Amino acid sequence: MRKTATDRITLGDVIAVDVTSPSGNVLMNKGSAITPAMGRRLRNWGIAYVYIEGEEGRGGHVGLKRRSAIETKSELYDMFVDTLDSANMRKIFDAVCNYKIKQQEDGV
Amino acid sequence: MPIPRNGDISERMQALGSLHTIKNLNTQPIVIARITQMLQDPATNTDELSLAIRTDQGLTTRVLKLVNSAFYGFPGKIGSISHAVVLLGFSTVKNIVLTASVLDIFKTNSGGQFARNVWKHSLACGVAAQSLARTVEYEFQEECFVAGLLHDIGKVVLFQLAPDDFSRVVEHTDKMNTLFYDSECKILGISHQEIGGMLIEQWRLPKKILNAVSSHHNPASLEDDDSKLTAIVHCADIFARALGYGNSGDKKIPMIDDKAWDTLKLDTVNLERLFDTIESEWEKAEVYVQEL
Repeated sequence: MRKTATDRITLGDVIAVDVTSPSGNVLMNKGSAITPAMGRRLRNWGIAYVYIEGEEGRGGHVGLKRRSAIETKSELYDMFVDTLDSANMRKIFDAVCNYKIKQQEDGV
Repeated sequence: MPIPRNGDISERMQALGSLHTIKNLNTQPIVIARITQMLQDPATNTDELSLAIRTDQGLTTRVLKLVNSAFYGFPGKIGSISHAVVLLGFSTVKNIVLTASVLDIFKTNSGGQFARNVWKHSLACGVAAQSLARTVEYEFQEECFVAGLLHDIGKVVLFQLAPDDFSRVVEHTDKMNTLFYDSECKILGISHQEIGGMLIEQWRLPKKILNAVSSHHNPASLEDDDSKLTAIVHCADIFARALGYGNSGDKKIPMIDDKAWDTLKLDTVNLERLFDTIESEWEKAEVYVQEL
């Protein structure tokens, strides 16, 4: 277990100790793998550091390679391709693409 | 014996011996039946309910672990079932108990990696259904979580009761790159939503949950007041798949039912904001994933 500053954590790092608010609320459970949105949220909550699984003094594993927007859209397109004749499915497709791409751009 | 292609559903299930086997799965511990009954009795008090839960030590431990997780976000430590009932209410505790019991089905039966993937997807569907219910101000939000959690339970039952038929469905799904549901209908003439519905019926869960499980692929078939919950689970299934949480046995997205879209007035919903809420709740639900 190693204490890691919130701005140094990488995608896929695993929380070793529950992250709690000053009042004792559990904000994130131990065992959760860091996603882009989680990193963003930790910063928004003002959490300065978290405990990450792994040995002290060693950097975390290499952050996951970020996919490009085109790769993400193409992957989603394969899932949605049979449904895109529907106007409502196109709305969902567009919203998911925008959401996923925005997540990637934000990063951790 | 393979499932016959024709004939009504109950005949086909009978032929498979599944009804008998489903009863023997012992998937609903006696404690759930007793608790469901107690909750329908207005005279039931907190002590009686707590006692009923505490008769199952394993269940008590799991329930306490879940009520103390980030998913429920309660400040401070909840140390006993009676404390949980007082703080969270009968309905919430009932749903936690039900969730812990459903978890047992995925855990104790030999579903392997498939059961784990379906569990993860089901959990995501439950989380998405609850978030969507909150967004569209539907009052039975906890029922949405439970219905989402149970919507694909028929797949696990199919895997356990008819492994050869299950394999044929998987093979067809992979080969044709189609929906698991479409393959079931084509190959078996029966689908997981009907099998799941039979299980829910035996558990005597509320009719709206039964309808949501047994019609989540075709919500337009329902005309009654329960159609909103079914519409929510139908859409939540689509959102959970699109966001990539778990795997329900295929790589495709089902077509949304336009009536479900209109019922929930999804034109007025900011979908990206909804996805952010779902993701946030999904992270908190991590404790359920770890339990498997």
